[in-house]
This record gives sequence, C-alpha cells and structure tokens, in this order.
Amino acid sequence: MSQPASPARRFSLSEDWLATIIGLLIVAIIGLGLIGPGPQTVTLKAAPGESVDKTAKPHDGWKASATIGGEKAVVEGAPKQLVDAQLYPFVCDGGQMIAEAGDSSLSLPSGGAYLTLTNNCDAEASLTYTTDYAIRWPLFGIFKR
Amino acid sequence: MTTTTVSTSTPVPARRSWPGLVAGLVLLAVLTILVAELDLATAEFFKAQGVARNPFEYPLTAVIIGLIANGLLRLAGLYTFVRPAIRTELYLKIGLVILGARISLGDLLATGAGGLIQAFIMVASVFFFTWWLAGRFNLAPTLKAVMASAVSICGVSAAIAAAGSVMAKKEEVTYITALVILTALPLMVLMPPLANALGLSPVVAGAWFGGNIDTTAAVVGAGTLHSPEAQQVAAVVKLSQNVLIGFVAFALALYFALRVERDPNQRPSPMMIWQRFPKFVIGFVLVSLLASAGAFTPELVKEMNRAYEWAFALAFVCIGIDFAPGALRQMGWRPILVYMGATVFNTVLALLVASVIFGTLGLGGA
Repeated sequence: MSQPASPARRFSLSEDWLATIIGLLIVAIIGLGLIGPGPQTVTLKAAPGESVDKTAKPHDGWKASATIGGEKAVVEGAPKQLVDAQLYPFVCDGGQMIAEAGDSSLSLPSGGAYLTLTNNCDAEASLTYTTDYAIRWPLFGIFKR
Repeated sequence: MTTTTVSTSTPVPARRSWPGLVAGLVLLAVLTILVAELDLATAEFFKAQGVARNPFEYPLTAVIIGLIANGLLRLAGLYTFVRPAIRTELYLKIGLVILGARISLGDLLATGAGGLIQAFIMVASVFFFTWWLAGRFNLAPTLKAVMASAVSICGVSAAIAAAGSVMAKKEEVTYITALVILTALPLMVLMPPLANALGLSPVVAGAWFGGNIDTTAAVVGAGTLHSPEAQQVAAVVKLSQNVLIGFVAFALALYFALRVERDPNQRPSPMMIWQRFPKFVIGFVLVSLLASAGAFTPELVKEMNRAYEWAFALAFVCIGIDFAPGALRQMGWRPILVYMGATVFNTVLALLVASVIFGTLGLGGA
C-alpha cells in the first residue's frame, strides 16, 4: 500500500534571525571597508612662509577645496585619486592654490598618500581634501537647488 | 463559532508571492528614495527661511509618504499584492543591529541597566493596569492579554507573541495592530516637541519615548525627530523592554493553561522564553561590542549611520503602508477606549519613571 506523500520540509528562518544576519552582513561589508573608507576629511593649514604635511587614505573620489586668507579659492589640478606612498605637493603662490606634479621617483614608506602644502602667499592658506559617503542620502539629489 | 488562532512568535508576513514581493520591494525602494530626496529639499527650504532644524525630519516624511501610498494602493486594488514586501519589523531590526555600531558598551550597559529597571516597572504597571481596565469594560480574556502585552511591551511583536500564548483570534491581533499604529503615529510626532516644551534632557526624553510608545519603529522615529542622543537612548530603552516579551508570553501561557483553560497538561515549557526572545538584540549587542573594541574607524561608523538611516526610512514608510483603519470598525468602541486609557496611563507613568531613573538617579548618562 502506498504511503501518502509527506509534505517537503522547507527551511525557514525567523524574522529575528534574518534581520540579525542581514544586519551583521551589512556591518561586515562596511566595517571591512569593502565599499570605501567612509567619509574622510584631511585639512592642511599653513601660515605665510610655512610648509605642512599630512597623510590621506589612498582612495579614489577625493574632492579638494581651499581658502586663502579665509576666502574660497580654486584648487588647480587637484588629483581625485590618491595613491599610497605617493607625494602630492600643493603650493599657495600669488593668491592661487596650485597642485604641483609629484616626484614619482621618490621612495616614500607605505601608509597613505602624502599631501604637502607650502604657503608662499601673504595670508593663511588652507587646503581640505574630502571624500563622500559611499552610501548616499539622498541618492540622486533631484530636488537639490 | 469558528475561531482562527495565532501561534507564531513574530509578525506573520502576508502569504508569499514572489511577483508581489519583488513589486513591493521596488515600490518601497522608490518611496524611500523619494523620502530621502524630499528630506533634503525640505531641510534646504527651512534653512532658506532661517529655520536651522528641519521640522519635517525623515521619519515624519516617510510615514506621510507611506500613508499616501497606502491609500493609493487600496484604491488601485494592489494593496494585498505588494503586502509581502511590507515588513516594518524586519527593516527596523536590520537598522537596529547596525545602530549597535554607534553605541559603546559603556553606554549600552548604563542605558541598558536603567532601561531594564524602567522596563520592569513599566511592563508590570501598564500590563496590570490595562488588564484591570479591560476587565472593567468586559473585554474577552484573549483580547485583554493581547492588548495588555501590546501596550506594556512593544506593540505588534508583543501582541503576536501574546496571541500565540493565549490562542487569541487572528482578528484580535489585526485589531490591536491597527490600534498600535493609530496611537503610535501621533505619539511619535507629538512627544518630541512635548519633551522640548517640558525641558527634558535628550536622555530623559529618549527614555520617555522608549518607555511609552508601543512600536519600536515609532520609538526610533520619535528619538530621531528629537536628537541623536535621544534616538540612541530611546532605542536601547525599547530593546530592554523588548527582551521581556519571552517572560510575559511564558507567564501568560501558564496563566491561561492553569486559570482560564484549567488544563494542567497544557503547561508551557520554559523554552518559550528563549523562543520569544528578540534574537536581533544579540546582533545589536555584538555590533556594539565590536565597535567598543575599536573594530571600526569613526568614518566607517558614519557610513554605518547612513546604512541604518536607509533601513529605518524603509521601516517608517512601511508603518504608513501597514496602517489598516478598517480593522478598527469591526470591534466597536470599548476596546478603543480601553487602549486609549492605557496609553494615557503609560504616557504619564513613563514620564515619571524616566525622569526619576534617567534624570534624578542619573542612569544612562543624564
């Protein structure tokens, strides 16, 4: 006599465990830096005649902005991608912020991209390098004026 | 009379339909993107008017968008079709696990300890008050149990857990769910300005929201509308309350087996406490531990903040879509009066208890 077919057992996960797993997965993906280092800000401030340096995370998508004597200034030729152990020199000269070509033959230790700012201007100069969030809010900025 | 009983521990999703699930997820994604876009636009509008803080923060925008979508979906006859994707609790719990990255172990212990003390006082007082009031209005024992659990612990999840313990009718749970959302929405919007008017610190305000508002989503929403610190405290206090679900569900099952049904053979197993325990709290604590151990840079924590904002926005949109006013008409006014009475009692008591524990005694960093 044939036995009635028993219903197939289906694996199911409770909502709590499902939420926990998805949440931990998101934390792991972001926490391991798989989608980027998070929003970064590196600021170099130099008094007239001063030279300063800082390291930044090697990453693509950097945006540069500058002020000279507290006024916004255009940064000419600022690279968007910073590479590890590379030098990125900036000079404030004649009221302008200029990105100079780095010397690629220099052998610098690994540990970040090196930013330097030499201020030949008469006022304090400030250079800020920032990266945005990988997860954007809002996504497109369609209502942004 | 036919009765449909509920025996699940977590909110029951609508019957799975893959096309509906996919369509619902796409719709939710579009609505949540719309919320994010509107949030920025309204913030810029108010900034241009000289108002520094956007009074229409994203939880409010999300619920309004959700309510509009709710009406349109019902008009178009598509509500049931997209229902499988409307998982308020799931999106909220994902967000809460990620939120753990922002809360250090020290804060968690301090706020959690205060939250647990508050939770014991609130759950016991509000549960028995609601039970007593429902008795005065001659509500059915199962409806009393589901309502008292919903008001005193954490809304929909507690209602479903209690319904499983006392074998409540499915329509009783649907009804309580509608009432929970109906009261939680105004409380989410009104309590943050009220907390400011009362001059409460963000910690006390957060503890008040966490101790009073029934649904965890609306608690997080009220905290977000108030301040980041209030959001953090509100979430931890609510989670402290949530962990009591299992104990209440077990006690209710025992009470109904021995006193209502009078069947000692139906005595529940203590395993029920673990079965009803909100497991996502484990994920939340784990992430908080990792963050406290310095596993994430501050920039990565900021990135995680963005991730939970999206998860919460999804949950807030779902609150609006979830609202089912039709369920309220079926039960009449008596349960509504009891629920409102219990909510007023809960609101006043939570204010007193939060002020003492988080204000006067200074637990939770006040």
